[in-house]
Amino acid sequence: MSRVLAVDDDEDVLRLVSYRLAAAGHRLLTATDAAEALQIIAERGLPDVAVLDVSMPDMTGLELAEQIRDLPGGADTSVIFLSARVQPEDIAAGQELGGRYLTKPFVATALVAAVERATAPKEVAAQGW
Amino acid sequence: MVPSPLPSAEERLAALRDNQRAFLSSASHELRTPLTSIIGYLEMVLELSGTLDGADRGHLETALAASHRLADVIDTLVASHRIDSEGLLLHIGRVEVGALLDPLTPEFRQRCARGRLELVTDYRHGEVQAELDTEAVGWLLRELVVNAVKFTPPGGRITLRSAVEGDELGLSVADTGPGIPAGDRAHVFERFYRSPDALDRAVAGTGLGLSIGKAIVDAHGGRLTVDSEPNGGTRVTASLPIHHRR
Repeated sequence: MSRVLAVDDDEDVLRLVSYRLAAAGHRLLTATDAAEALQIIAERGLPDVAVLDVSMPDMTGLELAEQIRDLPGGADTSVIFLSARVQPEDIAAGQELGGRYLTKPFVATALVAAVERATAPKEVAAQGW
Repeated sequence: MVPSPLPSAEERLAALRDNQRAFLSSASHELRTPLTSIIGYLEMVLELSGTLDGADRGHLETALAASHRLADVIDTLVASHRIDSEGLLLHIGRVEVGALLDPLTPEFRQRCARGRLELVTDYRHGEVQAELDTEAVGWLLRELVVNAVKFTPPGGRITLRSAVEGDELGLSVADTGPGIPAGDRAHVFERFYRSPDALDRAVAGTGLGLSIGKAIVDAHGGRLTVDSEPNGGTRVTASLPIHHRR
């Protein structure tokens, strides 16, 4: 089970993402913009995985990912971009930030698999302790 | 005051291309966003509702299938327009073939399940790494699976196979559909070509997908081939050089 922060300005999509990941056993927190996401992180700590929409008002998911990375310990949060922007340069921009890039409409099993893959190495490492 | 010089024809053309790209990107985004909710909630209702009768379930499945078709059409039109306006630009990188195929497999399995088809994966790429554009090759494989699902009657089987032969990576999608008549086989990679059989059976499509797929394979320096027999299914194989020849 991982702690997942999902951020999307489309609340319908946010509910779908939450439902799919909660049903897979993850703990979900949600935000509808970057400011709310950063507030949640300030209050509750960093998530294991951040699932970020890219096109959002005020601050894009790419910018939010950079802000999360710049926080102390933020590099340990895995980022998955979930976006309706599908041009190669959009995908490359997400991948350059080290995130997996899934496109909308999304396949629920692929999203769940991506979250599980994002956290798997950490769990293996933790078992080594 | 000195008037600013008029933009040159090249500058006007570049500005027009930028506008077209921005429009296409925006239109694609604005269409995909509501489709995400439409598809996602239809899937949820179909999975969770135990009270739907057969007819209602069938109606929702029809709506879901139509929504996926719309998403596929948007994909194809965006890819086609981009290639027309900018040519096919590959972003070649060295990638483990497993890292290309594994993330795509759940989506392909779901596409087959929606068509009441079995997906068989026969991956024999081992640990090999190949130099290719993962997004473009992923797009090609999706197109091949979408086509195979469209043309294969329920109860059939789609086989996704990978193999390494010499310095080539072979990626193939085979179906148990009706096959392609010999007279149509030579035309399937032509732009906007729709086989008479597809038109007769009202199989949805733009006639663009395979032509774009061939452009992707050609740009990698590979070959895209079709093997098909009437009533014997169809196999489309992309043979891609493992080491990209620049």
